Amino acid sequence: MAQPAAGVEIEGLTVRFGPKTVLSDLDLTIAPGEFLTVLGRSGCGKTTLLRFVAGFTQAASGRLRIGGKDLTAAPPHKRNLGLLFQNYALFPHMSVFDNVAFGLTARGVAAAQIRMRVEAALRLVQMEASLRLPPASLSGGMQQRVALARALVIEPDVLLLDEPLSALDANLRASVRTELKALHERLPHLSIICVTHDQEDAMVLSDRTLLMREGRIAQLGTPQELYDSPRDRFVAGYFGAANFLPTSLVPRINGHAADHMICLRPEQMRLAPLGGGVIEGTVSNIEWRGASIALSVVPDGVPADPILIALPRGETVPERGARTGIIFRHEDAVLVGV
Amino acid sequence: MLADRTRHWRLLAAAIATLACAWLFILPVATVLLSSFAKRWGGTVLPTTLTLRWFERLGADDWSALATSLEVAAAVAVLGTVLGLWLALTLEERGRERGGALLDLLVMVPNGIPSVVLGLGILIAYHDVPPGFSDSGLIVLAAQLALVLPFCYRSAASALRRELVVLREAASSLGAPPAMVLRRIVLPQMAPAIRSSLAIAFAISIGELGATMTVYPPGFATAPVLILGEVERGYYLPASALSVLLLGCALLVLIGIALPWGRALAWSRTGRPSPAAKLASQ
Repeated sequence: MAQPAAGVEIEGLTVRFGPKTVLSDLDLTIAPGEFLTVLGRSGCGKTTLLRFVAGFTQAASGRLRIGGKDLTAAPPHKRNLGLLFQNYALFPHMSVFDNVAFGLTARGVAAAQIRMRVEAALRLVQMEASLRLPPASLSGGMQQRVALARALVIEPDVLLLDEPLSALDANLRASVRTELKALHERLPHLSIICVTHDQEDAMVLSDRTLLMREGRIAQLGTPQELYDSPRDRFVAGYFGAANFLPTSLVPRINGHAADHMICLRPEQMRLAPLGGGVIEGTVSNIEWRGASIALSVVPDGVPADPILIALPRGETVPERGARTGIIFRHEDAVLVGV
Repeated sequence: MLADRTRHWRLLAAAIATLACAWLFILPVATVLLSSFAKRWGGTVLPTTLTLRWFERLGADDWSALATSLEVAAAVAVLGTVLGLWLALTLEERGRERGGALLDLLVMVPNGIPSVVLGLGILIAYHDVPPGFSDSGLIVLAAQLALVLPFCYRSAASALRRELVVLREAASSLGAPPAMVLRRIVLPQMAPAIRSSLAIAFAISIGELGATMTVYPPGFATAPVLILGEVERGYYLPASALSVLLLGCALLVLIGIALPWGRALAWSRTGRPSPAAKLASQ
């Protein structure tokens, strides 16, 4: 699929549903070939953003350009986008072949061409054996592959994925996630926007992650940036587990404005003997997670939630109710606004 | 023990329901069927001599009324279904807001108006405009169309499920213009609703009397109108013969609508396999 790469530019996008402002003045540029995940809670506007790009949602104001072309007013069928729906939306009255061929038929592609391209697209997702089956006879994972083939066969400028993994069970999720990543590597020119509420999708898949909150951008950056330098407490708490502690614990940072806290990830915390820790507290919960053990420790005298600690396997695990000290490296502490 | 008793009660309830159905529906229809073949029927439980006399005596009037009934019913079924589909699709796109909600209510109004009143209204409103309307069969068609529209609209609207909206979005995202979405996605997906709409409109129309009696011009009497006329004059047995013919025709058409080939036909018209599919199956 050697088409010229197309980037996406969104400018000043505002969407209102009645009195409610769902997206407010959003600017976003997606580079050609970039994999962007849009992350956020339900109702944060991430799906609306996707539907605006697809042409199903009218904006109160704002512009959309794809590959340099202004598509703000173009109807959905003239946008040349591949859209993968959450529940796949395969046409139940058509065979797998006809489903995948649909977009090519709509473009008036010759029958012989259609056959070749449909077969190639189904091979790409390893579904070439199910050509003549009705979609209902396929498992959820297989239906999704067909839906993906259907979206890719039209050689879209941008691939839009709406919660592509949320309908799959946990084991399948991981393998489909890996496949999506491999797919992106095989189609380096294809820009992909993937809406999800799962931070793990964002971490594994994306070149950049857009975390949204109440119709605005909370932070936009690589997954590492979001994880290691979250802009504020919301970003830190949403993107991975985080402990928030008073700035007074770190002399380097102490003295900053009162509306800041330090953020530390569970794997950055270590147990220490009583008397030797920065914080002391009581173990309130122990969860075995396989690769690590998650401890919750209620700190003494520090106004904070229980502190989460990820202990690597093999370390001595204190009993529930035991008292322990906690240490961390000062340079790990990140200052975040509340 | 307990399960046994519940089972007995269920059997009893089923028996009562069956009896009620038989008494209300099957028995009268059987009586009409039997009396259409009876030479005389009086004083005995069953008619003594069977005959085809009443069918042989059916005149040109009867046959033409039967034909009118079938023609009108077919036209009403098709027009009502098309109109119902159109309304449902239009109202859905408007999102049932503002004007949409009002129109939604308006479509259902004929349900609440006695059919005679509706017929009278149409007769008074249109008795000379447009010219040629009230003295042709069109006025019968119009009156019956108003009566069936709520049912056609309802069956179309209830088929516009959320999943269908997603399928339509999927189709247009793949590049299908609205007409293609309608032809290849919406209509095939709505085939069951279309069939039920055709059937209910046909059934209502073929038995309709109130509005038809009020508006029908000379020469456009339907079979029920003639049947009623004969009953009023005491000709029960000839009336039965015409009734049986009407019943038979209606049954045939309804079975025709319900049969699987009805679906196959709707399929080939709306969702026919693309040339691509034919290629694939070679």
